[in-house]
Amino acid sequence: MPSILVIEDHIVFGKALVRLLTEKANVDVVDVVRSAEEALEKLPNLNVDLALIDVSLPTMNGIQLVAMIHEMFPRLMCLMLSGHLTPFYVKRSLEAGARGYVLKDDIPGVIEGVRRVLDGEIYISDALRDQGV
Amino acid sequence: MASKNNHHKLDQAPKPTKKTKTIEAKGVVEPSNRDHGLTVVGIGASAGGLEALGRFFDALPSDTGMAFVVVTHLQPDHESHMAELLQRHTRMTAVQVTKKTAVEPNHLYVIPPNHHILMTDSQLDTRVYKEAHDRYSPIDHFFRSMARSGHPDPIAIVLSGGGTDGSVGVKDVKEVGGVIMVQHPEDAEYDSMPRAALSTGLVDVVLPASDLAQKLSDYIKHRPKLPHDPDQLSEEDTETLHRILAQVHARTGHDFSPYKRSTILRRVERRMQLNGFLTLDSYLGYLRRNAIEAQAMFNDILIGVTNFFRDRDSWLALEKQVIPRVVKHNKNGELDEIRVWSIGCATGEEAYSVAMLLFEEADRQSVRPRVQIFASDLDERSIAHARDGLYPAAIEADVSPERLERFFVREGEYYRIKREIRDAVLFTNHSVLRDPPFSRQDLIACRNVLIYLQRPVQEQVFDIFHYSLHPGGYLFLGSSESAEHLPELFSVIDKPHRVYQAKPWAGEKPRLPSLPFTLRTGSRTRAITNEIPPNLTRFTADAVDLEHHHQQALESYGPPSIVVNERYSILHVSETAGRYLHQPKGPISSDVLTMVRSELQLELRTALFHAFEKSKPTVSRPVSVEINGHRRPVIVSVRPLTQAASPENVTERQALVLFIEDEVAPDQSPQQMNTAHTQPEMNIMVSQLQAEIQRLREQLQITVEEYDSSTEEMKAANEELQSINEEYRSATEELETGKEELQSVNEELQTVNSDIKNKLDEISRAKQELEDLLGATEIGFLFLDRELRIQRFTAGVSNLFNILPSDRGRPIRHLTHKMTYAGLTEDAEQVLRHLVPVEHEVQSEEGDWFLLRLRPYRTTEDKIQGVVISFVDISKLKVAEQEIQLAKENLEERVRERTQEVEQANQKIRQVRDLFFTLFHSNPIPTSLTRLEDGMFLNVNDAYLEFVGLQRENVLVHTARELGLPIAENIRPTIGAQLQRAGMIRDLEMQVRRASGEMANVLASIQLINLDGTQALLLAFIDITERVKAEQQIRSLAYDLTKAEQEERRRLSQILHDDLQQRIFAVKMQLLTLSDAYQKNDLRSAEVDFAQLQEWLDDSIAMTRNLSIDLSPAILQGDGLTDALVWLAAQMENQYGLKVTIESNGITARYEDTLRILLFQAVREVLFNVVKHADTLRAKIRMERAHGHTRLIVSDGGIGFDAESILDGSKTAGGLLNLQHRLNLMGCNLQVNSKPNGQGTQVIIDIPQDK
Repeated sequence: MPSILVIEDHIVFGKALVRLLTEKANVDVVDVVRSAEEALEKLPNLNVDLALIDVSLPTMNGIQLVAMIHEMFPRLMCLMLSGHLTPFYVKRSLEAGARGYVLKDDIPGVIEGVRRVLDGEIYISDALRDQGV
Repeated sequence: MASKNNHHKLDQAPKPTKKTKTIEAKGVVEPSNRDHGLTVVGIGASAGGLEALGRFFDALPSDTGMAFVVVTHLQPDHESHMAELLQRHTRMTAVQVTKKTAVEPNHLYVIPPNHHILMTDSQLDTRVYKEAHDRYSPIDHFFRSMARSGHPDPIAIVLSGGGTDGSVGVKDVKEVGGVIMVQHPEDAEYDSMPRAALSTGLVDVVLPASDLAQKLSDYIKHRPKLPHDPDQLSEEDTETLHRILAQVHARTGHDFSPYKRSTILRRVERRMQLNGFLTLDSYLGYLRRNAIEAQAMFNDILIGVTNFFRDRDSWLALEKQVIPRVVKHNKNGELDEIRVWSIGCATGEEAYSVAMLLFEEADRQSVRPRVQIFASDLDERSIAHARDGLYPAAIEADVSPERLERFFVREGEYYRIKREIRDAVLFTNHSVLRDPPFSRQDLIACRNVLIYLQRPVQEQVFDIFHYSLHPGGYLFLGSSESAEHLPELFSVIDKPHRVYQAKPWAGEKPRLPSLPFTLRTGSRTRAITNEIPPNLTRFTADAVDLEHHHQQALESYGPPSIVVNERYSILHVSETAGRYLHQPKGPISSDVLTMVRSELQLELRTALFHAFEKSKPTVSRPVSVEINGHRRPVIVSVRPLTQAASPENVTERQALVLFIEDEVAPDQSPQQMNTAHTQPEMNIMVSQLQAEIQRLREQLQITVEEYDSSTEEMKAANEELQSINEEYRSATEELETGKEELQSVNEELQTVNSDIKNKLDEISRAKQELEDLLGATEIGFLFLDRELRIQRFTAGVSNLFNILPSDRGRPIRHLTHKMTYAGLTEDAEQVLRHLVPVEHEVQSEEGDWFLLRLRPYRTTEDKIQGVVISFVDISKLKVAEQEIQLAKENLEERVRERTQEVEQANQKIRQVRDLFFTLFHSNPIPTSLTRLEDGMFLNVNDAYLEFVGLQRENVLVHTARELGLPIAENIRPTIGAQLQRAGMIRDLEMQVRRASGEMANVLASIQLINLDGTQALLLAFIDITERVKAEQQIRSLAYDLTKAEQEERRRLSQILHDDLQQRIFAVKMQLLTLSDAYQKNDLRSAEVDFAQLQEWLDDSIAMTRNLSIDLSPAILQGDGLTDALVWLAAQMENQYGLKVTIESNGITARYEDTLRILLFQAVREVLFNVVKHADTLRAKIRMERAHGHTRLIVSDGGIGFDAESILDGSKTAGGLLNLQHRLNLMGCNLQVNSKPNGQGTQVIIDIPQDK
């Protein structure tokens, strides 16, 4: 079972997300951390297949984190999670090394995204693709 | 016997036409090597010469066969490239001479620098020159050496150059028959050297440089083929030569036939060559056609060539041996003046040289004799030159610097002889052969004149010299002339230098020797041309010779004969007549009766008596005479000789006595020889006859004795008569001598007279000119003597005085004048007394004005001789003066009028100006007037001064920049352009600096105005600083509000996104899980999810409620701030757990909405900061009143921070800073006191009471 690290600062949403992933995506959520700094602190000791990263994080944001992970752990897949329907963030994220970008309210997309990225594909929410990403 | 001696001298002077082979004097004049070999051409050039040389050689063929020597002035210490430079212009070989070099034809030789180049024989040599640079004259040196080298026919060419170098050397060249060519001065770049050469009058050809080359090559081609010896001329050529001389004689009045033929022939040959004629005939034709040529020939023959101290050694000899004696002689008081005659003086150098020596000697002996030098020459031009006394600077070569200093005055490139010397010399046109000589001379200098004359003429001239010289006087001849062959006339003083002394004449004064040419009638310059054709005279000479032979034959074969004169003196004895004569003892006698044999005495006496008294020939009876031991009868035949041998001897009769022996006189013999009778008869007869004879003899003896005694008496009487006659003769001769002396004196007088006449002419011309000048200037002059008598006056005076030429000598006061001026005489006397000029303006009766000047009349000796009065007509001047006065008054009147007008206008202007200034200065709007150019203040008004804060005296005349008040420097270019275009700018907002440095915003109006040609800016402005500040505040407030609003929105957006949205996302996800659980019928899980969902939705609802309160707290709708703060405190505790206590001190703080909301927001922001940063859960709000303020203090006990750095624009304090700004704008103040030391933070807000 693929293992996943979730980086999400909102506790309530984090809880709902872990439940959804565990139930529907058939993955093992190894841990939920609330900031990029905490993620970078824990990652060397974790063996995860995927990092699910919220774009809006306090201090260091998600896109900066992806860039660092891509630098430090090149084999770790990253999937971005965001409430913002902003194509600009998508582009920046992919440039920083993310393998996909899903919107938080696109719940099927979240599940599909995790699965696809773990399969080595690149995935972006349909709503964003409609916007021409 | 004196007369005999004179005859002897006359006999000694042969006729000039007599044919004699002339012996030429050896010397410089006739070079011996006259082989027409190599002709040397010396070319002198200096400044501008290279160009001329280039043209010369360009035009010259390279095969002329001549050798050329180029002498130039070179820089002494520079290498010369002259040879290379000239090589470009000729195909001849051009070389610089550095050592002895043989001269070759078709070669070009160039002088080396720092050297003289000299010619010796046929070689060129060089010599280092040692002279001072200003006396450097290499051209003269070379020309001289060329002349002396004996090289035939040298040619000297003078080209462009400064100075006078060459002009002395050309004389030497000319003298040896050379040719002188000179570049035309107008062709020469520097014409000084050509002009100096021309001034010698010796130049043969004057042409441009290139034409000179052509002329030279023509000249060398046209060499006539004439023999050197005139005797070798053909008959026709001799005749032609004579015609040529006759032609010259006719044209110039000078007969050159006594001149040496060879010399004449050479001159003619030279003229022919110069003019391009090859035969004498063709030249004669040219001479006849061309009048000038005769003069040229004349000049050529005379060659007026001489130099100062020519032949230095000879002059030195003269100076040492002769001059002191001449001067000393005078010192002894024997003569009152020194008289010298320079013959053939040419251009005067010789005469001046003698004069210089005499003056120097006089200086040495400290005497001042009168020196009179006669200098004579044939050539008028030369004499004119000599009289001028002007010589080229090149004479420096001949005259020492001391002499130049003592005797000359420098005039540019020339020296002029000083007056002192000039006055001692009398120049005259005089021919020694033709005109009576000057007498009583102490020294005659006649150098290189005799050599041109044929020898017989020379000897006549020596006679003349001897006559002219004072006994013991000196003769100074040229180096080729000599007087040694006349020891009876001259003794030798210095043989090598040709100085002789006249021997005193024993006995009476010699008579004037005959002049070779006395063809003078009236004018001395024109001679009658009745010459005897020489060949005819020669014919006569031949006839004389034949006669002589014939005579000799007759003498040999005829009977013995003697010729006696009437005093019975034997004049001539034939060859064989000696046997009839014998000299008895006693004194020697020429008396024929004494000398004839006694047997013949009686017959001869009778016969002679008959011959002289009756002029009848007589034949005596035969007389027996014993000759050589045989007795022979001899007949004496006497014939009077009536045909006189010479006209002079016409008074002295002669008789021829023939002695005929018996055999040749047969007709007489029978009668004479009949002595053979019978002896007895004979004896008686004989005795008778003897007695008779005895008686007769005795008788005869008595008669004879009587006769003899009467003869003796007669003889004595005769002798007495003879002596009387002698006395008469000598008296006549003395008279003649006296007459001749008078003639000499006359000659002198004429010379002096002509000189005086020249001067007189000059003076009268000057006088005429002066009079013309005075007439032309219309100035009247009146000359009065010391007694104020009229001496002289000019025409201008007669307008004012009733004066006539006859009034001269009358006192001035006797004359009436037409002037309104009474004090003329008194003024004149005053001038004489005080010698101070007097001036008056006087008016004549006609109304004309005159300027009268009286001044002492000084002679050149500064002697006061009288008074000169001049009258200058100044009427026109006066009229003009009056007109000017009138015009001046007129003008002054107009000026006054104008001045008044101007004054009025000025008054108006002043009024307007005062008004303007009042307006200007009282105007509250600051106004300045500055110069456009540099911003200098021309004027400012009081409002301006007040505005900038300066005193007037500190502003005016300074520029804005100097005062630190530049007005809108940055906009200057723009406004400048705009001003030029529109003239003015209105409503321009700009900044103005005050003296304090503060900047003020003003609204200005600028106008460009013209003040007397100066462009000036008139600036007026209103201070709008306050308005601008208010506007800025408004803008700033609007900005802050906008910013606060955005901040608020961002906060709301963040709340919505970061929290509410996440919750909604979570709800959505939970719903999916719930739905799954529901579908799986997993009720337990669904219940959990469901409860979870309910909780999250409740939270969300509470959140939205808080948010809406947050956005517009309901409590703010109420009355006071205090209530709102109480609510806020509850909110903070409720939401963030911060416990806030409020001490309101009863202050409700009612403010208008805007300020109240702002204060609320500020406190809330401070409390948020406490929540976020202070790390404490307690805060306190305190309100108090103080100093008319309401103070709101928010404090906490937290960790604190560095308020100064945080509030300095840090990002985290952004909200607080914004609020602080806004509060300031509302008139409130917010202050933060905090330090990062755990002492907490205190924020104080002061609100003015009136808000």
